[in-house]
Order: sequence, then C-alpha cells, then structure tokens
Amino acid sequence: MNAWKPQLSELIDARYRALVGYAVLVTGGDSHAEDLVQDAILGAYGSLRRFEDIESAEAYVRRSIVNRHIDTRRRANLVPSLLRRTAALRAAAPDPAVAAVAATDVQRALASLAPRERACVVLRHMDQLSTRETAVALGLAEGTVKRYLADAVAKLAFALDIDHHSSTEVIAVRKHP
Amino acid sequence: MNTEHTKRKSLSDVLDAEWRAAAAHAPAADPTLAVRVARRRRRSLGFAVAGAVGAVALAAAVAVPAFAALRHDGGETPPASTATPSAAPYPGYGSTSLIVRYVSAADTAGTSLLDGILFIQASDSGRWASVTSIPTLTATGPMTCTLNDGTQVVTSATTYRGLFAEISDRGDLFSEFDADRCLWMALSADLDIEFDGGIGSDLEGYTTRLEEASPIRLCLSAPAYSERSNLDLPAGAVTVDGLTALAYARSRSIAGADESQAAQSERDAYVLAEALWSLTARVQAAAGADPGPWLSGVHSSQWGKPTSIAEMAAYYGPDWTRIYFGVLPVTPDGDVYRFNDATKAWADAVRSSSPPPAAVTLASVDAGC
Repeated sequence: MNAWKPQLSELIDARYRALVGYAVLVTGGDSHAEDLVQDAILGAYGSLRRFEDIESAEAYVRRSIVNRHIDTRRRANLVPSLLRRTAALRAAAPDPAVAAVAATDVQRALASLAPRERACVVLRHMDQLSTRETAVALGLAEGTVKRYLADAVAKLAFALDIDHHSSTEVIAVRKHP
Repeated sequence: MNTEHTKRKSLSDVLDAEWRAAAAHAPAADPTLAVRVARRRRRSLGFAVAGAVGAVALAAAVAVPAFAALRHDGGETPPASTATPSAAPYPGYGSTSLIVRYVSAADTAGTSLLDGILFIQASDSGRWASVTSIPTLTATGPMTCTLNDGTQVVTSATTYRGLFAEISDRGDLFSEFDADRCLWMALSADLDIEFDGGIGSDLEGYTTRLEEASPIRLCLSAPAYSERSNLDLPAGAVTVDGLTALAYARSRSIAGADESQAAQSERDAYVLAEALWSLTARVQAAAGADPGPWLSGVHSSQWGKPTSIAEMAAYYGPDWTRIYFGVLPVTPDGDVYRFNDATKAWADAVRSSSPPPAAVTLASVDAGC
C-alpha cells in the first residue's frame, strides 16, 4: 500500500542531486533548477501514479522537468517586464543555490539555446533517446526535432570548440550503432 | 572504431561530465519534500475515494476549518443594504463583476508566481464585496476565441493555462490576440456569468498595487517562515508592507505550509481581500477620496459597463462592511481542476447578486483579527 514511500526515499536519497544537475543543464544554468526538480517530484508522487521501479520513476521525473521548464519559459516570455522584475527580485534576494551552481562554459552555451533546442539536446545526448522518442517526449514532429538538434549541435560545437561535423555524426552513430 | 569513439565523446561526454559536476554542486534535498509529497498524496487519495460528490464535501471539510482558523468572523450574513440602487454608478445591475488575471512566473527566491485569476464582485448597493480566486489549471473544453481583427478561431487548449501557452506560441500575445478576453470568454461561457470588465496585470503591476495598499494587516494562524523568501512572520495579527504580503501570498517555501496550487490560491485571495480592505479603510478615512488605479496593469480590457477597482473602492468604500474571499469550488482531476455542483451553486449566487454562498465564503475580512 505504501510501497511508494521507500521508493520516494530512495529517489531523493540517491538521485536528488543528479536530478538537480540534470535540471541545471535543462535550464542552461538557470537558478530555478531545484524548484523544477521539487515540482516534478511532487507531481510524480503527489498523485496516485505508480512506478515499477526507481528507474522508471526517475525517467518520469526527468521528462517532467523538461516539460515544466519549457512551459515555464514559454509563459515567462509573455511579459518582458516580468523578467525585469524577476531579475530585480533575484538581485535583492540571492538564492544560495545560485551561488553554489555558478554558470560554466557548457551551461552558458546551453543557455544560449532556445528551450526546445536545449530540451532536444538533453534528451538526445544525455538521456540517449532516439529522435523519434525525443519527438514523442516533447510532443513535436520528428523532423522538427532533427532541425532543432542540427541547429543546437551547430551552436554548441561553435561555442564549445567541438567539431561540428563530428558532433553531427554522433547522432547517426548512436541511432544506428 | 577509435574515430567513432572520439566522436562520441565530443558532445555527449562533455554533457555527461557537466551533469556530474552540476550534481556534485547541487544542494541536498529539502528535508520537507517527502512530507509535502505525502500531504499531496493524501489529498489526491481522499478525492479519488470520495468521488465527485464526496470530493466537494471533503474540500469544504478541509478548507473551511483551515480558513476559519486563519480568520473567522462567525459566518454572519451581511445585513440587507439600505442604499438606493439608483444611487449606484451602474444602476440596475445588482452587482459589478470584474475579473483580474496576473501574469507571472517563478522567481529564484522560493516564490511561486504562477498566474493568478481573481473574480471580484461588488454589490451595487454596497455592504459587501468578494474576491474569489480561480485555480489556473481549471479545465475547459475547446473554445472559440476572437482575434483582434475580429477573426474567430477555435483553440484546442484544454486548460486556461494551456490556452495561454498555446496563444503565446503563436506570436505577440497582445497584438495578435486579446488573450485576457479569450480567457474571460471561456470563463463566462462555462459559468454563465457576465463580466463587466477585466484587467490583466503583470507581476510588477500586482506588486505595485500591493505596495500602494501598504501597510496591509494579515492574520496568520501559524508562523510563516521562509529563508528563501525572506519571510519571518509570527502567528496572529501582523502588519506588513506590500512586498512582504506578496511573499506570503506566493512563497512556495514556507516551512510546514501547503504548497499546492489550491492553497496558494487561497492565500492569494486572502491577501487581495486584506489589501482591498486596507484601501477601503483609507477611503473611509479620506471621506471617499479616490485611492488611485488599484489594479491597473500592463494590459486591460473593459467592456460592457466601464469599471475599475479604483472606482469601486472610491464609490463603495464607505459602504463596504465586509469583504469576502475564497477559492472557486472545483474538483481535482489529475493535474487540473474541474467545475462541479458547488461551482454551479456559486455561479447561481453570483448571478443573483446575493453574497457569495457558504461553499466559497470561507471567511471574510473586517475590522479586527
């Protein structure tokens, strides 16, 4: 009946930091990564949903992190002045988590991507999903995902001094091992 | 093989290394997380077992005592007004209905700033007003929306929040769509309530309005402490500035507090009711002086009867004896809320211009804590 409790405890104990790290990359170093993780866990276990094992639970939470971030960014873009306000609040009350997770070159490069481009990169290159699986996870057409990936990889290759063509080929290698 | 191996390291391994580094720097889990999950799960389970009808009763059983503890005036029904209806600025309508939406997001200080939708109703003959918070994730069916050029389109969005996400995807929110009006059309159709006007405000507008109403008195049933939101309020009556009131209404990191959207909606409506009361008291003290544009935001749409909170407060201020507040009664359904019989009863009461029904009148604001 309460099998979810030990599973949740295990998820928090063993994977919480990894999930925050994942969210940091999904958001491009944005400071509300931890909020995203907590919201995703609350959403996953706060309902009556059941997970077969810790792996499927973590996979669900990761998808939730990606989708919640895209949704949040889309809404935040509605009113530019909101961002100014948010920035003011951030300056007034610095979040300890922000200081702890200072933006790195990789995070800055990821932050330069559009949220959906970043989501495609994370799902494809970190979660090792296929382009089709990535498309399903994000509710996009497979062709759209391929375009996002091509654009994102090109930007990352330039920013991180990675060979553009070899990075592109990685996709083919992983898709057809 | 070596070539392929080298290529694979080029991006995926950079990301993997970054992931490990970010995880190593990540803070430990919030110790209250498991408790919050358990609390939310209990509520989900309770509603699932109780079913649709039982869920309404359960919501009342949980929510009413909670708010009664927060602030309780004995549930007294306001006396019938003795004012002459024709003296009201909009005679013949019974009450004035205004719907307000705050566009916001999440900040970095542990404060959740999701959209807030509030329905404000004032009796044309004075005596009472109400602030009802509408959960943003309330579901609605496909609806027809009018573009600014008059074109009719059908959106496939299934929730009010989804509606805005969909609209925002299509381009400039405020030039292509009158999005606020789209939302209010959907609400009006679902609830069969005619709105007299509406205002959309960004967070900055919301904050400014609260600062204008400052100082605001709050009555707390428990201490409110949040390091991340810079909040440290004792239980009981406290007088706070507008920013602190905002933090209390919106913080998601208050120790021991319910962080659900419904609970946040309750705090939102409560703080707005207190702010409205504060302004009303000021109007009384100033013998009817206009308190200024209380809820003007970056965007506003008014139709039918021209109206504003400023006009309402200026006109009704001396006559308002009570300001009710509460949350639209809805039933949780997965990640969204759905209207139910209690919602219909509330809408009936709104249409009849009587004070809000008990199902939504969780408490009211008046003098004293």
